[in-house]
Amino acid sequence: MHPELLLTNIGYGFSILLTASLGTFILLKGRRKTEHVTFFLLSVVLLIYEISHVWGINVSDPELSRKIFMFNTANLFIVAFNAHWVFAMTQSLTKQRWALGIIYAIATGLCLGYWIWPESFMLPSQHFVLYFESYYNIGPLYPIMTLYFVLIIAYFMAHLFRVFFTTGNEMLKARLKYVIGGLIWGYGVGVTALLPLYGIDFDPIISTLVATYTIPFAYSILAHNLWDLNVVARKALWYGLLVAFLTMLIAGVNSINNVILTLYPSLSLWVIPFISALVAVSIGTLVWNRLKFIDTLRYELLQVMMHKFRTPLTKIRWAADRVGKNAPDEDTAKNVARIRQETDMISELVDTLVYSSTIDTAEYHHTVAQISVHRFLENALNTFKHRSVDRKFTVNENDCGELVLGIDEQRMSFALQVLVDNAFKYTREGGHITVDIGHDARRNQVLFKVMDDGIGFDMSEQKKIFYEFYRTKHAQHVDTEGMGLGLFLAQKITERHGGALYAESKGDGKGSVFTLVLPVKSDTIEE
Amino acid sequence: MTTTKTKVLVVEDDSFLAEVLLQKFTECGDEVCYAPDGSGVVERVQNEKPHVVVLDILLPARNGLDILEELKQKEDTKAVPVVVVSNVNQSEDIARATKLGAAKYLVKAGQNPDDIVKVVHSVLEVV
Repeated sequence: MHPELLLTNIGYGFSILLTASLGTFILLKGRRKTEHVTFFLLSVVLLIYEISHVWGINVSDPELSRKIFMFNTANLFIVAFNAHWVFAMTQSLTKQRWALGIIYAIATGLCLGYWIWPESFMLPSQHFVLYFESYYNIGPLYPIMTLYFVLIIAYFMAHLFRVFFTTGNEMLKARLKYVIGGLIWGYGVGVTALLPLYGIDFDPIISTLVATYTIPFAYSILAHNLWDLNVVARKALWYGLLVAFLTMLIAGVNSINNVILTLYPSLSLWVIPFISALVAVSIGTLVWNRLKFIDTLRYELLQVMMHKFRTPLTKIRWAADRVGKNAPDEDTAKNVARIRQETDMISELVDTLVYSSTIDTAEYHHTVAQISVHRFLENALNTFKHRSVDRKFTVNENDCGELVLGIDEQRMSFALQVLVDNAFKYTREGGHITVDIGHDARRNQVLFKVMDDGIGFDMSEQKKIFYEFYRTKHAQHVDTEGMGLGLFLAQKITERHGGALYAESKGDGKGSVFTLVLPVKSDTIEE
Repeated sequence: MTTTKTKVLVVEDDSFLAEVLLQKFTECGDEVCYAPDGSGVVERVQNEKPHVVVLDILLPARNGLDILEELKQKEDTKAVPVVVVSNVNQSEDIARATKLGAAKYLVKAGQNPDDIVKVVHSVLEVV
């Protein structure tokens, strides 16, 4: 296979994966929102275009290739859904309903026409245009689609610019920056695939990265839903641009290679590709290090922030403690207790937020040490003793206390505390909370079962309760302050220790059992 | 019969937190001395010979973990128990402090001053 065809295939493979995953992700984040649905539909037609393109250029049979290239009609709906999405996100659907109707009507009409009279759209493919096995051989009416394509883009781009320069909504303006940037990049890159169709001698390898334009789109949709997506989206965009740059560079060097070999026939064939590979690897390493550096900076910034928050919180807590000790009356004592309770809650929130934003970064790592189950339980559950006044809290070690775990105690304590804290939160006064320890000798695992007779959950939500930000309706009702991060983090932390965390319940109001499984390190602590 | 007072050196740069800790130790009958930053702490331990050191990590002039390392390297100070009391709760720092020989590592935000005093006294009982 020609190296540039191979690169094209790899590039389109990347684009197909990106389109499919982003489209599905956005749909799952909001199945009932027009913005999300139209983005998904845009992804579907883009996917059809990408698959048909990469398939068609690899097929040598001109007739089969032509049939595959017929799916190029997906382009009609790429711009149509794109326009729909743009109008939805700028809240102009009502104003633009007629325009949108016309856009869809023309797209449908043209598509039907092309499929009824396929020769008007696509002729049997040409062989070996550039390095492709086959390439589009356009029919006489194909340019109508190109014209439609360009006009619709011009229309919604004009609309976008108009909104951008007239809106007073700064948040929308910020989102539009990403959208406009993404559109210019995406269509600029994608259109290069059209150039050889019209006899323009241009290598369209960069068009392989057409799908990267959906990244800023996705970001603009989700920016208000996920607080840390900014970094993820930017990083993804950087990766995309890096791949684009490297692809172009290699293509460029290969073209130069041909020229140099013509001028200096004595030069070995491998010299220029070798240099190009070296350059690519060097750039890749450089960018990779840069990204890691940014990751580290972010991690450190969060740690500093966490420290900055904690110091004033400690002061408030200790000052409250001082006042509480000398409280002149019961009312003051109660208010002081409330201040302490709330500062504890802010401390927990800070910890949780920092955990959630660093758990997937390269900087997140465990410091593992050996600890007995007994010691681990004692340290982790100490804070719950004072809460066991209104609810019966029992810990049964069941002769497992001497077993030794190899864990990051601080992080695993957090995970276990989340489970017990939830049990306290979601169990009524007078209820029962039991932490029961078991040993699975066959698998050599310790099982921490946190059982309660609280609100429970429907088993259809068994997996969902571990999703980030997910909270059952019942849980939202009982505790309005939760963020839906505790179980998500507890599961991640446990899995990073080679363990597992799962949940069971007999249904709403019937209590729940959370089982945290960790591997046993040894029977005794090794010195 | 004479009983020797426990002598505690508190190294804490925040004046309010230091004041609360010093007051608590004094109330418990301990003798206290105080360092507001990381400079000269090792020398003070050598000269004033406290029974225990309560040490913060993020300090002006010198990092608490570096102080701990030096204390544990010197013959005349290595036996003095050090309780690290800090708001830094990164696993790496906790692991490093434990490895260097800290008797306990406490995160300030999660503790009452009374609890800290109890832990410091329990460390001395073990010693």
